[in-house]
Amino acid sequence: MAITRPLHELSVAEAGKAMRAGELTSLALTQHSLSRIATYDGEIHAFVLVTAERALSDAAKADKDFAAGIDKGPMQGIPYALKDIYGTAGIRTTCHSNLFRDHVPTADCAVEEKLAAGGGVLMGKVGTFEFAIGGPSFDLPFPPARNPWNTAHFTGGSSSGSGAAVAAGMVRIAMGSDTGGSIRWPAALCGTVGLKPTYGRVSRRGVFPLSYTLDHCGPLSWTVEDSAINLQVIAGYDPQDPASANVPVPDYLGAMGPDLSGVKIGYTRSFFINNPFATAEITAALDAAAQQMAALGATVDEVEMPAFEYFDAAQRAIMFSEAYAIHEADLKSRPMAYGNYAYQHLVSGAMTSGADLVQAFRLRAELTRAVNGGLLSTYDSLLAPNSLVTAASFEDFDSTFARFGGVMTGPFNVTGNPSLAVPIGFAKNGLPLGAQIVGRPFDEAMLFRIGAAYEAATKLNQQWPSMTAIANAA
Amino acid sequence: MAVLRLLRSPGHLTLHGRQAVAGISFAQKRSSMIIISSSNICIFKYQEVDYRTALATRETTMSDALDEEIETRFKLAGITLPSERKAQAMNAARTILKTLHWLRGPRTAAAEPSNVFSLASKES
Repeated sequence: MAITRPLHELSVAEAGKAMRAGELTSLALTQHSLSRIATYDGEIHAFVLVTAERALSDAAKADKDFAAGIDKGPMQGIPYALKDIYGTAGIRTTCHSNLFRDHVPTADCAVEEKLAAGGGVLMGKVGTFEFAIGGPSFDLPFPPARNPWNTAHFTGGSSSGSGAAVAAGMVRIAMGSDTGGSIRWPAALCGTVGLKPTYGRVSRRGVFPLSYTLDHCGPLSWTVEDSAINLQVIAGYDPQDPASANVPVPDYLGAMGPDLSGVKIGYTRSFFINNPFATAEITAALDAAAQQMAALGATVDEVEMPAFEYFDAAQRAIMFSEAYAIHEADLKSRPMAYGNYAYQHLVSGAMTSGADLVQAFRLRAELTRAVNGGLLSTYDSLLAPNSLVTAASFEDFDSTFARFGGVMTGPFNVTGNPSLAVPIGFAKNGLPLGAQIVGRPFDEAMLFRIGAAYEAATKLNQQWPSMTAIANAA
Repeated sequence: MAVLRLLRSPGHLTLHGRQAVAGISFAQKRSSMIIISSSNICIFKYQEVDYRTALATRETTMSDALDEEIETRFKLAGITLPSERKAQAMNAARTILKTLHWLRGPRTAAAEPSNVFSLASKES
């Protein structure tokens, strides 16, 4: 079967199949990705470092392995990018910060070890908010990534380059990290899929931390199936990550199908309906997503969550305390080395007392029980809001004070549940809208089942940003 | 049979089956959304706000500044704020301090956070 579509429109699954059938080489796919980056990244700014030589070498090795009948798994020959807080041996890892401008790790992080061992093709490092918290900023060593759907708008963050690179078709997989929504938020704003796995499912070893007990590593991708393929490779126990869970990794691809018969979904409508950021547009889109899932055979009930403010307070107290502990020495000794946004966020961790942190952990335990012992003992999954607003314009940002609103991803960092961001349509301004599907701990397979069926029914992943104007501007 | 149930205080609106679900239509007005089905009409009020308005609303509903307490906490932590960044850092500090009251409340014994580490081997 000849390939009739542009190579960047092939999913990881499709490209893998074509390579195994001898219809496509990894080298051709990699060269196409490099060409996309060269054409568009002058305007998008997704990448902070393109490792072209390494990519071509990885691709040649993958093709040689295919020819020799060696198959290292579903990421073999597939181009991918890493958020620039993922440590890479011999490759600069800056955390998008002047503090780490020339930092070159001596070891790969666990995820890179697995992707490299699985025959993947590393295209380079993609931008982030500084230390995964401060952005979008213009006072850093690299400019912020721009949204391929409208480059006057930002991408969400902190996995900003990951969202932009996937949406622009530069790669089909880009790794991100998620402490309060940093995979799912840019996924929603860039119209991609984004997976925050269960806490402990994917090793964070070698990834620069933001908050020890809230950090998760996971992929941004164009399709749900590609997210499952990636998790299949990167999931698993790592004794060198203290939070890693020794839980068997199931087959994520086997459970996917076109219908949702027998699946029970709780729709958390009351969780967001009174939020001041909840517009008619996002409410209608979420309602329509609930209806679509019901039409696919699921039982969808509206359910009550504890108030968002509880989750938000616990998430903020824990994240800022832990981040402050990590950065305390540098905040004191060289405050001006940080960008403005990162500094103000990180230093505010000095506000939380020991008692605040203990109360936050106590509240966290209760919220986790309410979600898992309560809702998810009855329901297989929850349909929840992601960002209530579309990507803000760069002009919307105060140049001195970072403010965000309407982002509802943090609760599932507090509880540790897996959560899959999926596109649910477009706003009148042409920018993507998203939702999240939340599952029981270590039941990512259910998220993939629901997400894939919904994606197949809505076909939203068959719409791509128009790149013509971007190419002219680049 | 697939079911979509929309909760509406104080009761439930239950729509059975695909036909009923498919029969729902949305009509948008300026300040309210009406969901119409063959047997029920319910009105969900919501605020129509733009991004900047919502941000401003959130800020003005915050309680008065706690600047003295914030400065004390920074001092106790050994932080000297650079003058050119003081205003923004104070702003960020106000934001976090004003969420902390949500942490306080009666908790059950099950919320006691003792098990933050384990002496048992993870591999055993």
